[in-house]
Amino acid sequence: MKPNKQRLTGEHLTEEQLATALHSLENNLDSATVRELAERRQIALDAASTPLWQRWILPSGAAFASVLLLAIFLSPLMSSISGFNEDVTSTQLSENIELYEDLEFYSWLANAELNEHG
Amino acid sequence: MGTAGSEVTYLIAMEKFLASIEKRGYAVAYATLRHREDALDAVQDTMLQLVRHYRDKTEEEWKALFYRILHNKINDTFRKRKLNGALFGWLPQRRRNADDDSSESNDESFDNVPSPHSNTPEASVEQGRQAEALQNAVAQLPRRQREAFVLRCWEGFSTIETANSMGCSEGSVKTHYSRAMERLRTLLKEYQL
Repeated sequence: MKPNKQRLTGEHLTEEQLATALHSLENNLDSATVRELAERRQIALDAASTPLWQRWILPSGAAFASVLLLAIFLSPLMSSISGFNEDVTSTQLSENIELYEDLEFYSWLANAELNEHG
Repeated sequence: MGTAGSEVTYLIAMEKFLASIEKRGYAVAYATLRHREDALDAVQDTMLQLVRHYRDKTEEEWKALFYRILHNKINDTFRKRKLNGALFGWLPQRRRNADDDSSESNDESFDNVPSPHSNTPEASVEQGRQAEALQNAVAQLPRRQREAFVLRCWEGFSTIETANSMGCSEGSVKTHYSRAMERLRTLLKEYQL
């Protein structure tokens, strides 16, 4: 390509001049950017050659592990809650039996007194 | 065996294609976004999307696809910036730019070293000034005009190829392109290219 020797102002800019100027932009990239582009290209190609299941194994493994951790964390909490419920029920039952026994006693006492006076 | 062989062939062809287009892709992204890291991210995302989702496409279609994805990524970046501006616009400028400081200092992606055609320091400075002006002018173009301009003038696509890549009619391409040229001529009036 011929070097752009014409010094026309932007007002009379031709497509060829503009294209030449644009192409000089990409040809004057600094070496760090060129290197980084090559690295990023490699990352993209590596990702393409990685099978789908390998791409999903890490996120799905992490999700499974967090569910497992949550279950482990919640299980003692749940069992203590259910244990508490059991304690409450058994206490209530024993109290109820005593109440019934007392009621039977008072009913017998009342009957006995009635019989005595009657 | 056959599948592994075709996979290798595909990767070799794709690597060759990406190596041939990445510098121009970056220059387009940088001229539009004016930020080194954003431009590199846009190019990398484009490459990733191309290699992951368009394996079934022929090599002839890759270039148009590359630019279509790249323009979408550039527009996504603009949308993100707009959203960030809306969300964090109230923060002091210094804090918002804290993360960008490192990249800003490296933002000289384009060497101002003398090209083979410019032997003097004055010519080098002038070339750097022109490159800056050109990038500023491209960045100022409206989205569709910029896309038409990049594909037609920078990449050398025909009108029909540009229309296919942009997903519009040939007439629209002609309109966008002529308006883009007109605007660039106005913006670059004082510069000599």
